[in-house]
Parts: sequence; structure tokens; C-alpha cells
Amino acid sequence: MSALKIKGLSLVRADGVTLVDNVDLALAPGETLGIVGESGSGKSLTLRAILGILPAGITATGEIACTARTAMVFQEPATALNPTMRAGDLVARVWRRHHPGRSKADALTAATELFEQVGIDRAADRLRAWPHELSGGMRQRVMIAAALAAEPEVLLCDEPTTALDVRVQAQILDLLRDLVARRSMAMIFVSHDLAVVASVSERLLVMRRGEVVETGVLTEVLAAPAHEYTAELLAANLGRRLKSESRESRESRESSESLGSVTR
Amino acid sequence: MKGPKLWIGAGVVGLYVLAAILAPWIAPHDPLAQDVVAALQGPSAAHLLGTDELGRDQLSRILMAARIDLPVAALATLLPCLLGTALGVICGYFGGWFDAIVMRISDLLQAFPMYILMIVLVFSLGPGVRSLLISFTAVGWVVYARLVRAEVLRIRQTEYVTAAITAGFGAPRVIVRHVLPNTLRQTLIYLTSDLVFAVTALAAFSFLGFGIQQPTPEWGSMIAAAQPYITTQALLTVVPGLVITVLALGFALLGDALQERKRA
Amino acid sequence: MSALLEIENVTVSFGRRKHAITAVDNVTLHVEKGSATGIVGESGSGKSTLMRTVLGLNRPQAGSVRFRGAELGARRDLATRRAMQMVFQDPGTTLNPARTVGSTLAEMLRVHRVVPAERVDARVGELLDLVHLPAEIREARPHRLSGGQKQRVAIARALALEPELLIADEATSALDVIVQAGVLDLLAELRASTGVTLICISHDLDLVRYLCDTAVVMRHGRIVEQGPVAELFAAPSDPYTAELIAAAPTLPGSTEESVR
Repeated sequence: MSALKIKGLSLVRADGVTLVDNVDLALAPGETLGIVGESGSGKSLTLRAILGILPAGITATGEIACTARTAMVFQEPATALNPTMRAGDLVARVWRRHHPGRSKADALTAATELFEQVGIDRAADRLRAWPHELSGGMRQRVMIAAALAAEPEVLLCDEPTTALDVRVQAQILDLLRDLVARRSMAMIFVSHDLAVVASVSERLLVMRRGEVVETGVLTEVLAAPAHEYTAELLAANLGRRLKSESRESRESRESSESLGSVTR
Repeated sequence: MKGPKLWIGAGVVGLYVLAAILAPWIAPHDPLAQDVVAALQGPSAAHLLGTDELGRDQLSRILMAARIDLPVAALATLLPCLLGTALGVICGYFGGWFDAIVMRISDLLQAFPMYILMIVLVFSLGPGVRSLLISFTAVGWVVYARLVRAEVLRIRQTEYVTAAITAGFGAPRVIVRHVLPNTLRQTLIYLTSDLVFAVTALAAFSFLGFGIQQPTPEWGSMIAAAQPYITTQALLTVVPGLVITVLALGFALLGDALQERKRA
Repeated sequence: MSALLEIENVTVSFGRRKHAITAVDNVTLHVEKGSATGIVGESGSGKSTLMRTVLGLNRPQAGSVRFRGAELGARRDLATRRAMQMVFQDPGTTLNPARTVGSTLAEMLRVHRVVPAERVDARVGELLDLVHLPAEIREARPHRLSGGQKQRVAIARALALEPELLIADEATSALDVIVQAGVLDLLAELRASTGVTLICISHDLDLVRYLCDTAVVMRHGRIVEQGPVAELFAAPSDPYTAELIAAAPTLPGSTEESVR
């Protein structure tokens, strides 16, 4: 009953270095899974293995059972878009590939609808825009529209907001949350930023040096991390540190106040 | 894969250098001693590679020629390299009118076919090593200057150069200690492949009579001198030709190996 | 407290007249001695350009920069240059790949004669110790170091000159979170131990809250708001600041409200 199931996935580079080691992962339909890890943890490679777009020289062993249609959104919208293709044509082309036998006009209508769905205003005009005419956030919306054109049941996101400014990031995260809910898609969201991952996921998977160190329901993992690395990640989060500091300073203030009242 | 290339290349070049150094001791005969009676003989115990049209020992001449060809080829790449690097660094680091002038001159030089330009120069300067080196330098600096200039422009933008500037280091120190060392690798790779050109071009010029003159032993002029006897004593042209080819191949392998090493 | 750095009505623009882009637009900012100021803003807000202008890497079209009360021009003496140092963003290019860590640090000490020649070696050791790096790293070339180690060396390189002002330009944004936390703690510790005045440029509001006592918000080359960190984040007066604060991703359970 899972849309995607990975069992014992290992990825080994040509020189024998293991990049991903025995990863298990299951994704139920409609579920959102966040994968968090540092650079080199193998999180992006795992995602690429699912899509079957591993870089040359990496061999995969293990089982990947994926019955669902998948589509991917990449980190760098600047290089993921073909600079010689209008934004609308790109989306229309993906749509036609997944709807064989339909006309170009149908595809452009579909692209307009998709542009509206991903929150691109003046969609009809923007169809004719070249990638360089769009801002980073707009480009990422186009990428998401292109991914949606494949009508995926599982959306794979590889650091889709890392290259964006914080306000644009918030908008894209909102959009993804909304799309996942509206289309009842499943989603795997990969990022190095725990707070970003947490804002769009129900379940969390923590990776380190190619291995899964912990997985579970997001709120439970955050409340009581089972692995010390997860705890370390949480402790390094500045928002958390600020909270604990302000609590400390408040407590110390309170204790000094109570001390003051005693002496008084 | 890069292992054998590097070792074969270095081995071939090393062997030639060794032969050049030891030539006076290992050459069985005086390369200039004529013996008209024993002219145009095939290989024998006394003359392992036979004798030329004036009865001079071919093996001794080939060995002694290494003492001319190798240093002249080395100088013919080193001089343009030094001139080009100096100009490239100044252009890349300071820019401005000097850069503009030097780059326009290099455009002009590159617009001409290189060989023809060199022939014209050597012809007007008169044959000989000196005019060969002048023409190689006058034409060859262009590529080095462009290569180094591009590297300097890139390195100038790096944070370590900015850090050196904010630390108040003067331009000479920044250039010599921080910029130049990081361009050397790229220059060295090109220099090795440029040696291939120098070796063959040098032989070609001598073959045409513009380079090193008889009776001084030199591979190119030896081929030219042996040309009339190609049907009767083919070895007289074949062996010097092979000697040049193998050396050029050695440099080519070395350059290739360095290039691959850089990528790895 | 007195102002160490006074930026008065500084405007910086690039390009020819017709197509000029104004990166910094009439900015006035005073930085107190011993303070930690955080400059936040999105890409293109002019925060890095402003600091590069302070360092003399760009020339302002208008306005003035005063340091220790003296106006800074395009030509600066060695002592002035020494007094302000910067730590950069990219661990990949922050160190000269051709030199060892030790020679990078020693060069700083020698050129500025920070310590007598015979003390240089010992001082390099002290600097490495200051940024919590093992002594063996002295012989290593940059490609052998991790990102966090490289940034620590870059901090040591800046501190070698014993500057009065240390500017950190997104110094931790390319690092993994756990490593980032370590480097931030190091900066806080160094500020306390050396009394250096700190300016942090960052897109990360939490970082500024964590490390700084004054926050400056920039947008489109202008300062939209500045004030003490606690006040600015608790009650932003500019809608843009409020928007930035709201957009910053937070872990569930790390906002002030959930504490209560």
C-alpha cells in the first residue's frame, strides 16, 4: 500500500566509496516525507536513484519499487531551465509527453492552467517569457508547473528553495504545502535546513554519511530525538538556541528577582 | 589510465635528455668527420645506422643533434611563455589601456596564419637559431598571454586575493605570492603541448633551410640532406623522422597526462 | 562608547551613467566600538557592497566613511587597512590553494610586523589555538581542510592583524548547520575575549539575533530599519522587516509564543 518503497538501497562510486548505505524508505500515497542531512549525506543521491538519474559511474544495488508517477523539482532554477525555450513551451512540452495525441493548443491551455495553479500571475503573458526574464522565485514556480504537468503522484523536491531569498522561499513552501494538499500528492522534500523540511513534512528522515540515522513522525522526532546526531542537529538550530537562551535569561532574571525580594 | 601516459611520456623525454647530455661520450664517431669513400653505406658494425652522403656516421649525428634540437625547442617555448605570462599577468591584474593595447596586438597576430608569419619573420631576419627564437617568441607569446590573463581575471575575483588586498598587501606581493602561483599549473599544461609544436616546427624550419645550417647536425636538416637518396638509403630520412615523431609523442603524452591529472 | 565607524550618506553605483545601478543609496550608519551589528537583507540589498566600500574595495559616488574619527579615502595607510578585516563567504576560495595554513598566517604577521620575526612561528600556533584548530593543520594546504576548518583559518587570518573591526560577510552560510553553530560560537567567544567590533552580514535573521546586539535591515540599497536586536525583532516598525521575520522558517516549538 505504498506509492514508493526502497529496500536496502546502496550507491557505490566507481572507486569503491560507498555514498549511500543500505537505505530503507517507504512512502504512503499522499504522505509528505522530509529528508534532512548535511552535504555529503547522500540525501540528493537517494532522490536521484528513485528517478533513475544517477550521475555516471555510480552503481546502485537494492530494490526501488515505485508504482507511482514521479516528477522532480531541482535546486537551481537558473540552470534547470533551458535558456533557449520559452517558459510556457517547456511546460507544454512536458504536458504533451504525458498526454500523447493531444494538440499543441491543448498543451498551451494546460500550461496556462498550471501557471495559474503555481501562482504565476498574468499567466497568459508569462507563457511567452524567456527564463532570463523571470526572477528566481518565478523560475522555480515554472519548474514546479513543469513537474506538475507530468501529473505526478509523488513529487520529489531537491533543495528547491535553497537558492532563493527568504521571503520567496516562504512563498514556494506555502505553494508546495498547498499543492500537495489539493492534489493529494505524496512528496519527498530534501534539504539541509531542518526548519525548512519541518515546515512541509509529516514524517522526517535524518541522513548522515549515506546512512539513515533516524526516521519517524516529525513532531515526535523533534520532541524526542532518538539518535544523538538528530539531537545535535536540533541543538545547532539557531531558533532553538535563541529560545533556550531567552528562557535561561528569563529564568535567571526571575531568580534574581526572587532573590531581590528575599533580601528586601 | 593516467599512470602509463605520464610514465611513458616522462620516460621518452627523459631518455632524449639523457642522450643529449651523454652524446659526446656515447657517440661512436665524430659527427663532423667525413669519409667520402664510405659514403651512403647501409647499417654495419662500424656504423650502426649507416653513413650519410659525406660518409659521416649517422648514429653519431642523430645523437649530437639532440644537443641542438632539445635546448632550442625548450627555449622556443620558454621564451614566449615568459613574455606571454608577464604580459598576461599585467593585463589581467591591472586592465586599463595597457590591457587594451596588448589584447589588440594579440588579436592582430592571431588573425594571421601562424606558420606563414613565422616564415616571413625568419626569412627577413636570416636563417639561424637567433632568428628562429625571435620569431617563435614574437608569435608564440599570444596564447600564453591570453591563457594567463584569463586565469588572472578569475583568480582576482577569489576571496583570498580580496583578503590579501584588504590586508594592505602591495600589488607586487599580491601578484607574485597569491595570483601567479595559481596560474602556473594551467601554463605548464599548455607549455608541454606547446613543446610538441616547437619540436616539429623547429625540424620543419631546418628542413626548409631556414633553421640550423649544415654541417651542424640537426634532425630536420638531416632529413632534407638525405632526401635525394630516399630510394637507395631510406633509413637516412626515416630514422631522423622517427626520432622527431617519438619525441613529439613523448611531449604529447606528458601534456595529456598533466591535463587529466588536473581534471581529477 | 563612541562610534568606531561612521558611514554618512554613502551612495555606491555601478555602470555607466545611463545604465547605472545604485547598489547603496544614501546610507547612514554608525557602529559603536565593541558592538556587534548585524546587517540583514535579501540578495541585492546592497549589504555586501556597503561593507566592501568600508574596506575600500569600492569607491562611493557620494558620502563619506569615517573610521576612528578620520575620513577614509581611496588611499589608506597600512595601519588603517590592518585595523579592519573581513571574513568571506566561500570556504572554497577563501584560502590561497598554493600556500599552507601556516604560511598564510605567517605572511600576515610578517608584512605588518605584528610580532617580532622570531615570534612569528609561536604566534601562528597561538592563532590556530585561538580558533580551536589543531597545531598540525599548520602544514596542511587548503584542499585537505573541511569547510568549517577553512572558515576558522580565514578567521585566524583576519585576527592575525589584531583588527579593531571584523566584518563577517555570510561567513557561515556555506557551512553545514552543526559546523555553522560552532563557528558562530567561536565568533561570539572571540568578540568577548578580544573586544573586537563585529559586523555580520547575513540573510539569516536568527543568526543576527543570536550573535549581534544591533540589527540593520537593508532593502534595495537603503536601510529600512535599525535598532537593538531585541526591540527590532519583538516589534518591527517597518512592514518589510515584519515580512522578513514572518518568512523565516522556524522549527515547531522554537518561537517565542510556544515557549509560554
